[in-house]
Amino acid sequence: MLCSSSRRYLHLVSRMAHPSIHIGVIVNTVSDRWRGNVASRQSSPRSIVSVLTFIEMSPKRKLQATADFDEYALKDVPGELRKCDQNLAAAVVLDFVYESGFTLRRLGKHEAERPAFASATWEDVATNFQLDASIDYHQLELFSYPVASLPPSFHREVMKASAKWLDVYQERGAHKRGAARMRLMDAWHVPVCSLFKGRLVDQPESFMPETPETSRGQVDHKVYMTEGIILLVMELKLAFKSVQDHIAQVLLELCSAFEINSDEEFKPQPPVYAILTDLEDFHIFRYDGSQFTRIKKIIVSDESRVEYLSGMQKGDSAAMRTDEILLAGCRGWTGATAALQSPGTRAVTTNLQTTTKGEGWAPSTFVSSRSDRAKQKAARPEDFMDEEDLQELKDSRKLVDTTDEMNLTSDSRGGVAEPEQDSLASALETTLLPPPSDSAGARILKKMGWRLGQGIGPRVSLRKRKLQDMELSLGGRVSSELVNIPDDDEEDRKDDSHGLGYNPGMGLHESVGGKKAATSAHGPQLAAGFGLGALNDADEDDLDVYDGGPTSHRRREAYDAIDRDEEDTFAIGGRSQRGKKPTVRPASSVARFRDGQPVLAGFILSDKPVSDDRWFPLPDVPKGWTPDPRRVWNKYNNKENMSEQREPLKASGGWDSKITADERGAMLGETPLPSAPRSVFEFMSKKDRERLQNIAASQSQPSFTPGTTTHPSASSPPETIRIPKTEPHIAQAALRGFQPFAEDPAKQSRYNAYLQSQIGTDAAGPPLQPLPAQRVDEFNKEAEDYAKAALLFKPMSSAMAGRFTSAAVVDHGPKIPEGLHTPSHEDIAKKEEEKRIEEEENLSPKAHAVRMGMYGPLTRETKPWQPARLLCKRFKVRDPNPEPEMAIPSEPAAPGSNWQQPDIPMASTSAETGGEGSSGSGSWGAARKGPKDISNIGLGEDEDQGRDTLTYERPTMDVFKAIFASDDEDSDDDKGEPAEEPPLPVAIPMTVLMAPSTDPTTAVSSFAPMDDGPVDLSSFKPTFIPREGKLKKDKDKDKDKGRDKDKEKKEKKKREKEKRAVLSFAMDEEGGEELAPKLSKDRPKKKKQRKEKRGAGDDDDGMWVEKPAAEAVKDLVLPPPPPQLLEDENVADPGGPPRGRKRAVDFL
Amino acid sequence: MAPFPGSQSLPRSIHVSLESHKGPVNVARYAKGSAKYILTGGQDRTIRLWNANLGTEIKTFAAHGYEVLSISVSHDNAKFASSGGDRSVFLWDVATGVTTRRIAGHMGKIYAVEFNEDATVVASGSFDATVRLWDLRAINRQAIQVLDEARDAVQSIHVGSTTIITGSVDGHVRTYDLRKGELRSDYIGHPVTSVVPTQDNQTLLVTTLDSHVRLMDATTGKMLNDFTGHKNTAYRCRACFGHGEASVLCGDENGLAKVLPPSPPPKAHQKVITWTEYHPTDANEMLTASADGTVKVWRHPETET
Repeated sequence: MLCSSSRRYLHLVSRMAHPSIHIGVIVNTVSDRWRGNVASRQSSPRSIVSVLTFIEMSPKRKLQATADFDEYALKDVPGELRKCDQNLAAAVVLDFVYESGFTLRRLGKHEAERPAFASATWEDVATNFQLDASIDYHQLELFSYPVASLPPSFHREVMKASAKWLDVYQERGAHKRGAARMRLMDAWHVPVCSLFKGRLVDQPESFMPETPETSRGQVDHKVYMTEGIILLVMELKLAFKSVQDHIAQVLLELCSAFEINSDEEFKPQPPVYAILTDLEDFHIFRYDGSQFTRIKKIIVSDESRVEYLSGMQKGDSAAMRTDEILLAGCRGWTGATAALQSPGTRAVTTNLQTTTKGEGWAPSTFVSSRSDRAKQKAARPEDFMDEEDLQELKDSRKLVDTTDEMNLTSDSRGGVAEPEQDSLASALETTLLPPPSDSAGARILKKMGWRLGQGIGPRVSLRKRKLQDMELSLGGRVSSELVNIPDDDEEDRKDDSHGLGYNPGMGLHESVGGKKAATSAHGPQLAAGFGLGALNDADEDDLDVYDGGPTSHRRREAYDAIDRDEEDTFAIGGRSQRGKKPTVRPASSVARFRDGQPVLAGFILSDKPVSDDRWFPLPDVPKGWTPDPRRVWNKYNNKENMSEQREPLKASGGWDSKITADERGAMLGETPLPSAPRSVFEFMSKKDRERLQNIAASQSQPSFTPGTTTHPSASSPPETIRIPKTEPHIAQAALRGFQPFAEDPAKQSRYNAYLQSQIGTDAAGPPLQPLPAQRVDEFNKEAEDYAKAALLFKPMSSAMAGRFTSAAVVDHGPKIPEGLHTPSHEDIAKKEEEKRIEEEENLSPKAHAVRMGMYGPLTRETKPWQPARLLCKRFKVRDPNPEPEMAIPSEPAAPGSNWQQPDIPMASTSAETGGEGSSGSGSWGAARKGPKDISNIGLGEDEDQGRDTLTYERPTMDVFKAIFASDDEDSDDDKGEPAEEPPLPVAIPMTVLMAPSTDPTTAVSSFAPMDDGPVDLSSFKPTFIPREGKLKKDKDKDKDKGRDKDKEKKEKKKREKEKRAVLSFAMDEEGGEELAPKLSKDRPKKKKQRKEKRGAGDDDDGMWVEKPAAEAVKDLVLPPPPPQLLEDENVADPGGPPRGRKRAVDFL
Repeated sequence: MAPFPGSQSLPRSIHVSLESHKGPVNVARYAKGSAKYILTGGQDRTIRLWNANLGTEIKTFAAHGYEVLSISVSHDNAKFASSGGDRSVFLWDVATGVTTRRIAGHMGKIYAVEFNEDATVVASGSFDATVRLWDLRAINRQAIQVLDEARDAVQSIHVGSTTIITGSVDGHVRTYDLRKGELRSDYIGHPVTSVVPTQDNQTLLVTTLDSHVRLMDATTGKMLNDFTGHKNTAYRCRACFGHGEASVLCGDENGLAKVLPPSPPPKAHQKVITWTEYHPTDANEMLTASADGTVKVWRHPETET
């Protein structure tokens, strides 16, 4: 049946990337069951009759039923088969599957019948392609390709980039897998590919279609594609094991790629290229559908990175070839595409940028393949994939993100596609314009500093640019002569990093503003700044102050010339005309020195010699002459009879004509001026001098022979003892003054010695001498230091100095032990002890008391504290310091002297709290301590009644007099405030009277006068008391500022009432004045009493009505029991206040 | 002071040991009233309610995100307040076991929380050196009053009927007298970790970190007695009076429950004793809480039967 015979035709077509789907198989004529057109294909040249597809879940699991087949397979069955009766097809396939025991492994065996790419051998392939298997690939013909070029700047950048890539991916030797090669190749090909908007697909898994010569296989590494068209296939090997076989593989791949490209039905179909490389040898092949051709093998040395890079990039290099081939391929394809599209249904732009391809799979209609075999398509994996798979495949193929479009050049290119445009031109255009999308190449370029609108490569001058343009457009080499660009166009761009106005190469001389060479003929140089129009005259302001002058200009040109040379070296393919290029270099730049050497570039020969030194020709030296200076000096000696000492000086200095004033004076016999002595020696005693001389002699003897001592150069060796001179008086003063080296006694003593020696008296000590181990220069330095110190530290004047004596001990700060130091235990203990003692000393008395265990008054601190009202409410406690509304009435009340309580601590607290107002009067001190005594009955629980009365201390009368004696009227209005409170009911207890009075008589007396006064309002003269009351009240007011509004309201009311009263008072003002002194004694008491009374609050004439603090009392929870009140009244009665009170009531 | 009804020896035998806490127990309080129940709060962020007699755990109150440092039970035993590292005071409903209110406002962990007598105000003393008084009648976010006299963390609060007594690490015991409107601060000289007044409010038992417990006269600030012999230098070990205030009981960092005046201290716990409290009514019962994670209820052996 089906089985044995059909197996022969089994071929593995492909394996899909999709993991769960395995497309197998099939078959030419499967058996006699296969009928009709299916059977007829047996004779087709390709010997594939049909392709059946089925899906196998796993290789081992056979299809279970027809249903499975229907479900999975039929929709993907290629068109030809679908045309058949589906049931039949299903039956056939299932039959086949069942009977053959078909599994993937078995298919794999069949696969061997036709070589896959990887298993291709040269022999097989060569035979298949009608090549001579016995000779190697050299039998392939060479193909020619157009020599194209990209701008050298582009190559330069690519070179730089590839060097970086090499840093990352290492040289060839470091690679483990062939795949790694691809990454390196990317460095060269990605930028180029991006120019064509190509895509790099690096999918080892992706399948190439089968060809008659090969089963479906995979291209190991690389496919260059332009929107689905394969331009170039790359096969990368770690190492060439068998070049022939690798080539065979490449040929197969080429074949397969060609097959893929044939989908688009190009006529004629452009060739496909292939590169086989191990990064050392590059084989490049081409397949045009009928013939394989090749170019010469390119070998790139990878001995060193430099060699490798240059081998890749320079001259006839691999990368260049690849680029050229890509370019050629692109041209071919663009042309083909344009041709294909001319009546085109699809909008494909000429440069292939928007070409799309293969949107999903659509069943082809059946056409008899016999008629048009050229169109015969191999089924591709894509054909069997649904939309999702296709999408996935597409996504996975995108190495370069197409969504990330730069879109910046879209204006220039726009949608205006010019189909008739020359394909070559457009391809070239793409090379020159920056890639429109942010492709990998563009990104690389951007990273390297490229910016849009710049072109590729380093900044190009206009000239260069035009040159390039012409070269490209003419397709050949263009001599730079042809490019005609006005020079001034070119110098605009500033592409260095020098400061503005700086001209590179400007010599120091010029930059400093030295003499300029002849200025240019155009007159003043204008500053290249803003706001200078073409028509503007050159003002002085516009002169370029930074202009370096024409020389720098010249220099710059020279530099540019060099630049241009450099540019030429990068010309593609070498330039024969290089030398011919006219140099713009001015002649002056090749200046030469006098001796014929050319001046270095950037340097300018100066007209003037460096200095005006005069040179005299040396006299002829007689033969046999040896220099003997002594002779000369002796001669001088004899001649001029000068002292020996001075002679050498003159001789050495050579100033024979110059005589100092002293010398002249000496010569003329003048008495020497009392100038400062010149030598230390002159300050020394004779003895010292001798001694010093002896010492000097003894020291110099070993080094100098007696004969040479007279020799001036010998007698002044570099290391002489030089003791700087200090004026004697300074030395004297310094000796008495500050001792700068006190910390180093030895040094100080030496300092002293030095000073003493400088004083110059005979009594002074010996001169300073170097220490035994001290070098002379060190000694000199030391002495110098001393001299400086003496100058520095001498006292202002000796008179001043006499007033100070230097301290016996100089404080040097803490002594720090040298080196690593660990304090001993004793030290620590001592320190701690000290600390403790110090701490103890610093203890506050409180802490001290604690330390002593003396808890009690010493450790206790009592402060007033105001609990929040709400808190009091919550704790069900009365507010200890009631709110101001109670305080106000109490203010004017005058405390009676009898309220002074001897409770001192209380007084101290009340001194603080009392000011804030307390209610009414009362013996709160007693109340504070637990059980109430009889005296505070009637006060309720208000402990603080009358608190302020206790604290009030009346100022002496004089004060009041001084303040108030003259003017009474000014504050009348204010006075009344407290006074005008409504009278209280009589029942309210009269605390003033009730309180135990220590001085009842005064209390009585104080009340008496008032009480005796007329009751009649008109005749009543109350005046003086309010003044003091007012004074006090004012004080209280100040204290009470900020109290509640309630209070204010009350006050307002009061004021209204007050006004009435004040009017009446005013009438009596004058009389009051007279009374004032008389009453002064009594007043304070009255006032106090009144204050208390007013504490009661609401009576209009509170001043006159003695009342207790009414408000406070009102607030009481428990009204004081009347009987007690009565008792109290009785107690206090003898003083007579009750009378007064009654009268006050009457008075109202 | 009352005659010494408690002069008999203290309860010495373990009645029950409450061991559910997973870490140190920071506080243990008797309920009010007949005090049949114990509330304990610990490092494990839970508060547990126990039956003191049976030693059974009745309920666990878990809402704290940090350790529980203080508990205060209201007079009616219906709710209690707790505080700790959360920087807020939690008010709990005992029956439902949920927090009825969480009062935030402190800047630091709250070491002490205390109701006033009728649970209308709760006072909380915190690491931020303030005592805040919160109104429970009205829902007000602001504290009624902030007592910020303390210069260091407030470790202990006692709220009396008219006074608020705080003990602070700055070494002061401050008595805020609401009636007098007066603040009396007594300098003890060492960090104060607990202040417990006697029933008559005349004396204060002050525990400080110098291993002393001092009995101070509340009115004059004089020291009436000084108890030493235990070790307490780092932890808060609350001392308390024995029954009838005849003796003083204090915890020890070595786990010894000391009774002062001294008698041989029983080794009660493995670690520092953080809280001692005497049964408010029953002379035969007291409890100790310790960092070893247990709370022990002590009784006289004879009453045990």
